[in-house]
Amino acid sequence: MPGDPGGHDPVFVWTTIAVVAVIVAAGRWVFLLLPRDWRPRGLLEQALSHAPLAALAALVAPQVLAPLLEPAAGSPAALADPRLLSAMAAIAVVHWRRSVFLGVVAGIGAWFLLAQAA
Amino acid sequence: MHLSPLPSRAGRAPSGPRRLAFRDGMFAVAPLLPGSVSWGLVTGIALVKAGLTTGQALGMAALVFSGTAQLVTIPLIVAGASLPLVMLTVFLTNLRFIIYSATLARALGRLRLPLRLGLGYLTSDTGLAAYRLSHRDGEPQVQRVALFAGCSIPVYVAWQAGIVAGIGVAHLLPPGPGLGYLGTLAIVAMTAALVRSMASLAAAVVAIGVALVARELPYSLGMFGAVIAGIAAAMLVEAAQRRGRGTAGSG
Repeated sequence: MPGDPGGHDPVFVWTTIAVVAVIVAAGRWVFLLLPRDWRPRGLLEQALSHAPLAALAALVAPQVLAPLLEPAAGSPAALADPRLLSAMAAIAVVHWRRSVFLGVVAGIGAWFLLAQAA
Repeated sequence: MHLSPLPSRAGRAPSGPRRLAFRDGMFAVAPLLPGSVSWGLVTGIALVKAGLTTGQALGMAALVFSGTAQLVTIPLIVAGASLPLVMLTVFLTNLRFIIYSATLARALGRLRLPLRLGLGYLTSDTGLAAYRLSHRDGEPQVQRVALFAGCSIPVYVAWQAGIVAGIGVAHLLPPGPGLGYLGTLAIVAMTAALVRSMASLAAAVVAIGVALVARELPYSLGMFGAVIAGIAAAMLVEAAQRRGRGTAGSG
């Protein structure tokens, strides 16, 4: 069950960790192993530079917007969901203070306050 | 002495300049280290609250030197996602390190392979930012390498310290099913910080739209489609902006 310590199949968790470690290291090594003068340019460089943002947004959107996608969507309760409001607090503070870390702090603070109230 | 070292001596310059460059790097990165510690703290808490054992959380911290990759993997483990989806997501979110490695290849170019790969492994957003700020053109390679090491090794140490502290703190927090969401909030903040232009806003909005519409599809297909659509949207906006500037400039 999510939230219980050690609740996942150990073989799956360790396989995942190993595979993720290899992918992360391999990405950093690409141009250290390739011939030195070749670097991504033009359209390829542009596309590569936008990929992380698109992937991160696509990953979190269904989790953050889950309250709006559930059966009770549209009700005031769905709009007041701690998941949605704490994410909005995080985004607002990131743009206001230009600091990722303060945004995380604000989001977590809002989440605890709202989850307590709910 | 003038800057004309013989090729044979380039590899073993006196240790003085090297040590100075290393120290320059440490000074450059020092103001950024509290950020790395706190970021590691959040990640450590998120790892334990997602249901990893202490051993698994420490193992992941030691092997995977990337906060993004760790935070991205956590919700997927919780959701019981398939390994291919985890691989695709981690690959897509870490593409920026491929771009970083192009920068780094010029700094570390002639280094022995094990050292080159070791320093490459230590690349971080924070360390590379400090290196770019303190790097001066025309520096000999020995000093470039020492500077990069001085910028990067403290980040690694601070990050690991933060994670270990976070794993400890997580055990003090009351168990709650919703705490895994803290990792998601960290990714939300990271994503929001990357939105800095009309093009990146278009990438985010389109990727989110496609991810929501396609979430009933076999999951990794929706993810891939969302990224492709987001990239296309950003590049269209940039192309339109270039055309706009071109007309404004000629008229």
